[in-house]
Amino acid sequence: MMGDNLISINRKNSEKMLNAQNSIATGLKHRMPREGPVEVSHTIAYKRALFELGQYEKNIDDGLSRINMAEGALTSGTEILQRIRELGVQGANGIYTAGDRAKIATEIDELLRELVTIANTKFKGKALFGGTDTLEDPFRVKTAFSKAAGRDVIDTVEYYGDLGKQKREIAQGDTLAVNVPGNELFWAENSSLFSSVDARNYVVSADSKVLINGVPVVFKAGDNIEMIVNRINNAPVPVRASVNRMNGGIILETSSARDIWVQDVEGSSVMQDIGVVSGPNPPKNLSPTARFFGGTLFDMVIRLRDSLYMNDSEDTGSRALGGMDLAIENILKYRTDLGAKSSRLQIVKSRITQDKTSIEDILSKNEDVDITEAVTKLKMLEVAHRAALGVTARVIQPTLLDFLR
Amino acid sequence: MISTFTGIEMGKKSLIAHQAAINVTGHNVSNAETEGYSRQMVTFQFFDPLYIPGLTRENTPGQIGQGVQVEKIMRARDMLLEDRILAEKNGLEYWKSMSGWVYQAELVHNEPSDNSIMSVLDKFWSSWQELANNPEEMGARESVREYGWALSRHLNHNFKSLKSIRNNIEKTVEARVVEINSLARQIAKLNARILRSESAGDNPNDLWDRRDLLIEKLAGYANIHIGRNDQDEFLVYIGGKHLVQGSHYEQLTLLKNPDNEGYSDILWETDGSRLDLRSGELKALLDARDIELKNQIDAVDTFAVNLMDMVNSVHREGFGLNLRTGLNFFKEKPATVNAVGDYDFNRDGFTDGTALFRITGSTVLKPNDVIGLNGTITLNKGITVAYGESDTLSEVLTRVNNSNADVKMYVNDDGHLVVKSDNPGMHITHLEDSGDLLAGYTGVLKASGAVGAFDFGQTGMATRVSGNYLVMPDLHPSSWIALDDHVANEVESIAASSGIDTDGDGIKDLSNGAGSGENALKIAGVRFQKAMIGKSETADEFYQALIAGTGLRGATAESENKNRSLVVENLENLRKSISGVNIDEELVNLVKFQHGYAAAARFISKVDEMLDLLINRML
Repeated sequence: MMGDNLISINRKNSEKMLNAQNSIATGLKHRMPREGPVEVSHTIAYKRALFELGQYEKNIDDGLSRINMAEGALTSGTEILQRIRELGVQGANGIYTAGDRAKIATEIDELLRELVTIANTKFKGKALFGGTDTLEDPFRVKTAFSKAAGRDVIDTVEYYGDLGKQKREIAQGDTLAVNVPGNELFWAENSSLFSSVDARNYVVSADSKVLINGVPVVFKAGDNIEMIVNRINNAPVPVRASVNRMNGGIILETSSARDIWVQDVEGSSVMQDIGVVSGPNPPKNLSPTARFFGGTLFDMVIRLRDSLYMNDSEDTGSRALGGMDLAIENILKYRTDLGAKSSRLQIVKSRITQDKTSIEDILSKNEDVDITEAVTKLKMLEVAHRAALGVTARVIQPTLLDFLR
Repeated sequence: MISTFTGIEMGKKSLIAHQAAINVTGHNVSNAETEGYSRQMVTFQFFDPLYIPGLTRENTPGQIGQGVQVEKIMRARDMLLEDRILAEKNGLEYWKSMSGWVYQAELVHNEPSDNSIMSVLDKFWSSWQELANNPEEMGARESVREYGWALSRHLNHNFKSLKSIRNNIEKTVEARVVEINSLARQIAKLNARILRSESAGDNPNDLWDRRDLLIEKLAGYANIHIGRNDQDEFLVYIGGKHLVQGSHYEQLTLLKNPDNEGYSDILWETDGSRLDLRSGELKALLDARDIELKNQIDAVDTFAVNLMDMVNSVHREGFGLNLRTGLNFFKEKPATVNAVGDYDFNRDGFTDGTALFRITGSTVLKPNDVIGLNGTITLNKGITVAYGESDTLSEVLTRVNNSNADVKMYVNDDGHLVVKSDNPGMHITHLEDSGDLLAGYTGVLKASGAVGAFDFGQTGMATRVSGNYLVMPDLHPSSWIALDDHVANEVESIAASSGIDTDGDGIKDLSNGAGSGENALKIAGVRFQKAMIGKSETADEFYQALIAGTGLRGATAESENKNRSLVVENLENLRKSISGVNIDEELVNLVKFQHGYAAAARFISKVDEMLDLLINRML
């Protein structure tokens, strides 16, 4: 019986020692959920949090590199615009001849090509300024022969991207757009659209939804033109609507330099009915009967170039250079905007780094073995085990048999 | 007058008695290490003295003894202690077995480690974020597909492992029933032999020991009760019915239960009634098989089906790089015979009900708006939830989710109300609303009141549902969850981009462009969707709770096991101190009896000398 007891005590000791050795070897307090159900479930949660933060960090890094790339492109874009402006100022000077102006204009045309290349900048092979339409060049160029220049020059630069925002999740449920679509960035003038369709007797026939610059606006059945204007003005869109007193057509005007994008969705035909658009989906769906004003940055450069070709120094000095100022101003606005986004991302990133450190600390406290403690414990178990074995050896030896002949 | 040979006769008795005592000592020493053996002791008694009261009584002083005899050979055993050991033993075996099975389940979950479902899940959600960052890139798409594949493989694997543990338990149950039957047979046979020798006045010590050993084994398997009161009939009961009654015994049998996936019930062979188990290893086996492991599998299934449905619901709304839309990310495998959820519940070959897993309302809502409606929602088992004008939608939903009904409701990221089954059967049983909350306000049902109620007990009930729905998935979603074929074959089909509906048919038909990762971001957000799975809010939390619960039950089983084995160990030590053979003691006895034997022999030779003198020398 004594022997059996010693066996069971020795077995228990060995088991404890094995556990102690395992935790020293793996460095983990718990190897199975049963060894600490609550701690293990905390470990899972902390690890998950670390993983999430790591992902947010990656998202931020991706966003930052896009923004840096965009900032770089805009910096060189601004330099070129400044150069074009200087050339424009030079060309407005009365002492130059028509030939001189044509040379300046030709240089501006070359710089314009460079500007278009910048507007089509790629990030990892994908267009940076095309909204979410990233597979193709957002700005497409049409050239035409110019008599004044005596060669092919850029005739139009048109935007084929979209308004899409590329969002990055930087904290749970918190997203930040890390791109600026080209039809906001490379725009110079406020846009306005005058419909030629008299809408004074128009009534919306069924509940309809339209997207104006990407923001949904809902019209109810029975809305008249006043209600339509009201609903547009009450929605968070960067477009103001009003009714033209001359012909009863609707007028849409942007409040800052950007394009007007109108899209009839979910089967709506309201915008088509009141002569704003001719087809359902942008780009290039604005109604041909409506009059559209507003120009891109490229339009401004082209206007300056053409006024130089036409040797119209007065126009160059006033309207064309004014357009350049608008273009530069708009680019600068978005450079500031991107800079602010970049610094916000940096702040969030450094907060994430801090959070990660503190979670790693808690995680380590939760799951890592305190080696000093574990080794001391193992040593104590070893001593106890030795003692038990010694006693076993001693107890088993003497029996009466030893003394009987 | 005393006989001349009285002395020799007396010496002979003494020789015989001591020889018997030495033999018993030898038996004890031989069986010192035999399991279940109890030390035996010889009781000596003096032989009745020659003394016959009567007229012919010898007129001698005193009585002259007639020597010694062996009265009986007893075993040293404390039957009260024995009963306590039996009682503790079946508790011990219950927890020992339970601890082992839960341990195996813990091994399946493989937590905490870097190769568990949770870690794959982390990578899965992250891969969607990466895709949102680079929606045009094939690499990001490949990674979503790989982690989607790995996640489904992990779920398949966990299901398989848990299922095989369940199958192993079933096999153990079969083996234990065979063993119990054999034990019952052996005990009954022993009873017959014991009764025979008892009625002859013997002490069948070794047979008793053997029976006690068998009973102890039996006590480990089931909660037995022993009846020792009747001398003629030794009784063993399990749960109030006798397994052994003297030499008569009953047998147990197994019957496969189709309602329990073909796992067996344990029945009495004679009348087919169910064996009433309270503890012991057999009870642990049934609990582990039908509660612990079943719940584990149900939980993995619930996790799989919710994950599948939530990811698919968002995925269908998005657009792939190849402009395909409306595709599932995970394969869906309905259990129902048709797309409107008709199902054959009673397995008679004809559809008899409607099985829907989830219904999503058609209207867009804000959870914190005041609903301004009055009414009562009736759910399964007649559970009712009343709502009033001043309640907000989220207040009503909290009430529904806390009502113990088998459905859970939440508002998804798009603002639609989702009603889904939260029972292992994976179908909604009853939905009824006396007011307009479920019908008009949230667009789940077409009409309010009993006429518009959804009930699973009739076919064609899907026509009463107004929103879109998912029919009941096939049994054990975790066993078949896999990537949808389109996604598996063509990563361009992974719907990273969002889109819009241009023609008003409720289906998005125009992609927002290849650079839009909005839908991928929404899928990555599914992990935070408060989708109310079981008692947890999100899918991740649900799985985490499963691990913690398993660990807690494992820890309980292990500590119970340790405590009880300590108690049993102590009791067994106590028994050993009573019944165990101590070699030293036996040797002392041996020396004692040997001396007694030698003394008796010396006595006989002295009497012989006396007779020799008397017979041969007196001539």
